[in-house]
Amino acid sequence: MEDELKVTKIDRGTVLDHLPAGSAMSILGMFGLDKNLVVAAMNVDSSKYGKKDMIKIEGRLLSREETDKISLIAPSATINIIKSKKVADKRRVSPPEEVRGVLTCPNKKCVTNVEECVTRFLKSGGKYKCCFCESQFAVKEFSL
Amino acid sequence: MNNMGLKSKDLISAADLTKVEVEDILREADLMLDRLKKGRPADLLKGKILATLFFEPSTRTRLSFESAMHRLGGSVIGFSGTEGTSVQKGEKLQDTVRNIENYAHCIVMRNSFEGSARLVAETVKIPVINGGDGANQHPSQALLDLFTIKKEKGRLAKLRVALCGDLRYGRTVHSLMYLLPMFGIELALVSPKSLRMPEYIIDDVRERFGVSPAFHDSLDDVISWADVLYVTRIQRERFTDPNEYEKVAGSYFVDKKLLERAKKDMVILHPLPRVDEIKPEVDSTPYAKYFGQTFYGVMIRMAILNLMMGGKR
Repeated sequence: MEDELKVTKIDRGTVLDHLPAGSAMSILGMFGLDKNLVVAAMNVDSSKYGKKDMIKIEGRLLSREETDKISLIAPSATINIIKSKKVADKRRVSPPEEVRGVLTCPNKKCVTNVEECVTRFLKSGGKYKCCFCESQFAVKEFSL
Repeated sequence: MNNMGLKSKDLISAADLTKVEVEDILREADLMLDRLKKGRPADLLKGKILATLFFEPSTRTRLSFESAMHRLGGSVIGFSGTEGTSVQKGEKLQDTVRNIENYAHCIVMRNSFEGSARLVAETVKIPVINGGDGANQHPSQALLDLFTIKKEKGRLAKLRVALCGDLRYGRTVHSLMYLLPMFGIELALVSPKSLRMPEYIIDDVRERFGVSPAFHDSLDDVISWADVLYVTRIQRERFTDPNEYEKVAGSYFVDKKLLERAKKDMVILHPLPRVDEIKPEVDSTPYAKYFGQTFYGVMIRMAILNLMMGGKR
């Protein structure tokens, strides 16, 4: 079934594969993709993961910094950068050192939950530290 | 903090401070104390204006900063509580401070939201001092505590300090956790399990200073060990069950009986206000130094203000 997923090949863009089932919409929300052609397949059968999501983005080559943000939701994601219909770069994601704007601070008393500002988290050990309230959280504590 | 050649122009968190910076502040506070004792006119910040923005009530911190600013020859504007301010009309914090930076040379702020002082510091161009942001940090209080310990004990090295009470929500102890180990001070943390120091601070301090504080749930465990007993208030509002509060609060009070086993030269500090965690009978003992803290607090705040606003030395 995995190989049978029929979606038109893209000429230039990014393919995000091996995303946890049900994560595609959250991941799409991380990027400003309102002007791009985007195809999201959800709950696709996967021999490795049981079910998975995948996303194809036409006309946008996501940077490593951008795709590393995905690691918070989808640590097993693979990224294919497509140029001239061919895979020009294939990479995995790794936890970013700094995350700006993507995460909401789980600390309800953090000022970022009441004022308009860009949240900022720094990786600290296996956790992320809010640059404002200084609290640290495991990835699973964030609402993604 | 331009006078010291420091990286930061603001005082937001004790976690931002280096040992050199802390030593510089303590030295400056000593100079202020010396000036005061000699009765020298303090016009170091003449013409400068401090804005004290206390969105939450404060007695000591606000008055201490105001007293410090007046003693330095400067002026103070500000508010305590949001009644009558634009905040009550729904104005956002960032808009409020963008206006106030046009009125003053420095801001001291207390606000119930954690991280609010950092946000304000990133919003305005003038120096910002965190006068307490929720349960996060209160760096000027921790600096004055450190200064008090130094003055009362004559040194900082090789001291044993027990932090007691509400270590989870107490912002002053959060700040102290970053300052005390800088000077090789040994730490013991005494609290009920539900009010233990946040794990992320313990981890951070372990990583920075290579120390692992000991945890205790009774003052009995540390009373004969400590050179300094730093007591904080256990707040009733932290407990959903009033019986649980009564049970916990009652087991963390200091009285003369407890002090029978203390070292003769031990000192007791408290950021105040106290409720009943230190019995009034202790006030007249040589251990009680908590009212002296407020005097040293003015010296520390004079030092911070002078260093941050670039006054003469």
